Amino acid sequence: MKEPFEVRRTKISSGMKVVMARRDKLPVFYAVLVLHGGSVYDPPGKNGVAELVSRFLEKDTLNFTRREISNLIEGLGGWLVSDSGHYTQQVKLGLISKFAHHGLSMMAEMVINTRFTREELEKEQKKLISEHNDELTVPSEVLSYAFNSGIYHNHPLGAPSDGVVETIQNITLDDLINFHRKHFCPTNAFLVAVSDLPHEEVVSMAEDSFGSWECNPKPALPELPKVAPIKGKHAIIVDMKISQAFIALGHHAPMRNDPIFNRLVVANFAIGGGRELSRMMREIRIKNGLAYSAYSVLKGGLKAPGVFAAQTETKAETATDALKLALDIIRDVHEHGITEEELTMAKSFFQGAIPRMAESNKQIASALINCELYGLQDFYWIKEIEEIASLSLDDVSSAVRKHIDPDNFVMAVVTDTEKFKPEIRGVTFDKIKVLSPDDFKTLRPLED
Amino acid sequence: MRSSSLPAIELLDIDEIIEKYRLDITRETLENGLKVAVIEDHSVPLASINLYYLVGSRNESYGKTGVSHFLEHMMFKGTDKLGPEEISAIITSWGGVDNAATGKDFTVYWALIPSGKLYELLSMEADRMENAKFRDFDSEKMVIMEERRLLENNPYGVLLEEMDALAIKAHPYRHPIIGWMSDIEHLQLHDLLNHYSTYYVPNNAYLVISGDVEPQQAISWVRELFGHIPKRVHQDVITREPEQRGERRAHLTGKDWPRVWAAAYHIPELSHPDSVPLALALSILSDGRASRLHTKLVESGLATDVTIITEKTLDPFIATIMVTPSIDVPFETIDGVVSEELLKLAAEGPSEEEFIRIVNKQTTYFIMGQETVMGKAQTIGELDIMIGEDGYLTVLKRFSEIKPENIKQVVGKYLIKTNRSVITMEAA
Repeated sequence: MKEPFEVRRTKISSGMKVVMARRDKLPVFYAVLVLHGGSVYDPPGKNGVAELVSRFLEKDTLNFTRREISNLIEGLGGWLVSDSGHYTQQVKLGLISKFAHHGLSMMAEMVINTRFTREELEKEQKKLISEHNDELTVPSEVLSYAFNSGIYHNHPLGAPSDGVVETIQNITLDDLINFHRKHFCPTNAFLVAVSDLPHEEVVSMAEDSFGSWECNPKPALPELPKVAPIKGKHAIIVDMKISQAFIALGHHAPMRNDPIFNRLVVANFAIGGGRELSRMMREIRIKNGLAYSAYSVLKGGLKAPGVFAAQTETKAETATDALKLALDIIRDVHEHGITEEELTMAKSFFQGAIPRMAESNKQIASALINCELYGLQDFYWIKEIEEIASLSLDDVSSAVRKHIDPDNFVMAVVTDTEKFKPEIRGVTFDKIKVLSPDDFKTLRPLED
Repeated sequence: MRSSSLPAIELLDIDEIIEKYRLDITRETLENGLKVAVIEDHSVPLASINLYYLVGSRNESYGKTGVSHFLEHMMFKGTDKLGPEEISAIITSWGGVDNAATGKDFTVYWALIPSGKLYELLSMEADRMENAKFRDFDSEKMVIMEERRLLENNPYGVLLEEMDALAIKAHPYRHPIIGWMSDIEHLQLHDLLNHYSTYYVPNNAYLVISGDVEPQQAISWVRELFGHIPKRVHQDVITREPEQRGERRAHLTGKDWPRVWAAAYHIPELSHPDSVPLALALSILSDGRASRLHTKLVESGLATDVTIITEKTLDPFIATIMVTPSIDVPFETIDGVVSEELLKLAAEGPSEEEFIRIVNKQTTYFIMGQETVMGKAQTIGELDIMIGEDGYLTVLKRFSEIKPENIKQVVGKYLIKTNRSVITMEAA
């Protein structure tokens, strides 16, 4: 298939990489500055530092008030927001192309001239703790806390990327300043820009805004700890007085750039990723009417293993039925692979989906970020489909035998424990932990 | 802090934008009343269809709430030619995506597919407009009850449902779109069949096709596939919400619920001349970091979040300001700040800077909404239904005509205490 646009990469004088794609479709400029400085690099016991640094980007800088910056960007009809995740901090900009230079200039101001004050830190800590407390009242959020802590245990990926109540309150102004100094450097960042503008013009604007960005010394990202493998069947039950059970069941997945990954993408399509064509949707929702949603997700790892998870929600009284169905599907795929029909449908779906993958500038920027982070080829969303098209049933079977595991997994269930017991026919759990939502205010909720 | 000078912002030239980004739309109304709009865009080999039926919770009565939503689920259960869920399975096998959504005023069935499959998709949609078979009734009822439980287990969902019921006394908008649990339990197959035969008719539908299509070819396919389906007339909703005569209040409690303060104000329907200045007023209050309520509540540390929830509707509805107070900040403090800001906006109107910012923002949303074929279809479909043909142009032109004075007037008219309902929520 023909490549739909040209991707170009260059380095500006500060050493920052700029990745560009040009399309003439609309005068819309979309750019993301990505910094390798997410929560996995938070200092020990200070989870929440990366998140708080990200929030300071949207505040007064050394040269402008937050109001001046907002008035300029929003006045030009655009947006400029910061966001922090487990691996990266991202600053996202969207506006009409003719105003792109104003947007990039303010983006640079936010990340280079960040201003940290004790007063704002206290305010943000209080706000972040409030947000956490509110999240712990929403069952789907609690499920996410519980499942991740089970999958990644004491690894930084096991904690929410914005920290927990216990650690947020320990963070000092110096923690933020040191983190910013260490991670906010041009050689530790890259800019992705997708627009109708010529590459030369984008490079020139990036040079104007980021060309004199300096940092010393050059940062070295610390090694992350190893993730402990999941051995046996682990149940984490969180008690909430609700009528349903929110369920996630899964285990680690290979790295995103592992050659085996796309074989598992096909398997996941058959298990729960292929909507009405998937087994989970058919068995749990369509045939038995147990749940509104029933699906599985597969996320490739970056610097630690990724995750495979089957998820659904059903009333507490039928939770074990839904879990049994999900586990039976996982075991069947593990033992027998997928069917010829499922393989054909998956190939057909991914082939037809190619044009949808890169319709908007935002989608293209997101794909280019994946190329940089995961080391994927340009237009991987086209090239990987060609690879999927050549897969055989044996290819998929050998991958699932190794990577889809019905015997070693974490099951998280958020429900009313008076109505639900983890008693599934044919399944003996090696460890069962019953928690309350408040336990997720601490960094190690699974420790006794 | 050293404040350097930033460039002054000017209003975007809306007339120029209309001229430059006017959508290329071909329209047709079939003899049976089916309205069709085709938006041509060959930038990607994709096509989308949005088939709107003008029926939603607006058309429901006590005892039958949720019937439109239930019907939406059953429309995926096949036809004489297709089995349960087969329409979605076929679309997925093409690499497409599809779904449906039931709202207050309409139910929409949408799909985004490779453009070469448009005829097959239209064929399936025409088939289910005429020949839907409601199989698996009992198991689908269980699925819908689970969907309802999802809402009940989310405190924010509960609050919004309670707000509709508190603020709206007479109009069917007071009912939840998904329906009350007892009504869902008691709905029968014949209720769905009645609803289907009454509302799923061509003269009550609007079909928007967008993307890599040739308009005359698409319209000829629509004529071939939908043209023979007979029209049927039904009675429109007659209930109008009476004027509110004073503030209403409720206090909700539940185990482990968060603290939330919310106030809902009656606002006019989208086609009303006040709706555009009011939308701009709500934008001044809560859209973006520079907005007034964000500044006064979130930046100040009094709250963790503030948002205004409203919908485009055919009849008058409500706009709800929802605030999550920070720990230990009393509800009265939040109420005081919100009331003060509304009074100030009603007395002084927006600053020039605010006015330019929100008009430019709304205008830019229109340009950015054209990035995807589905985005275009949604803009055209919803605004045409609510306002009339070329509704998006009507709205853009109103942006260019509005003066700050208009915003001041509508705030003083609608965002006042006697026109509001307040709900506070906290843990039991």
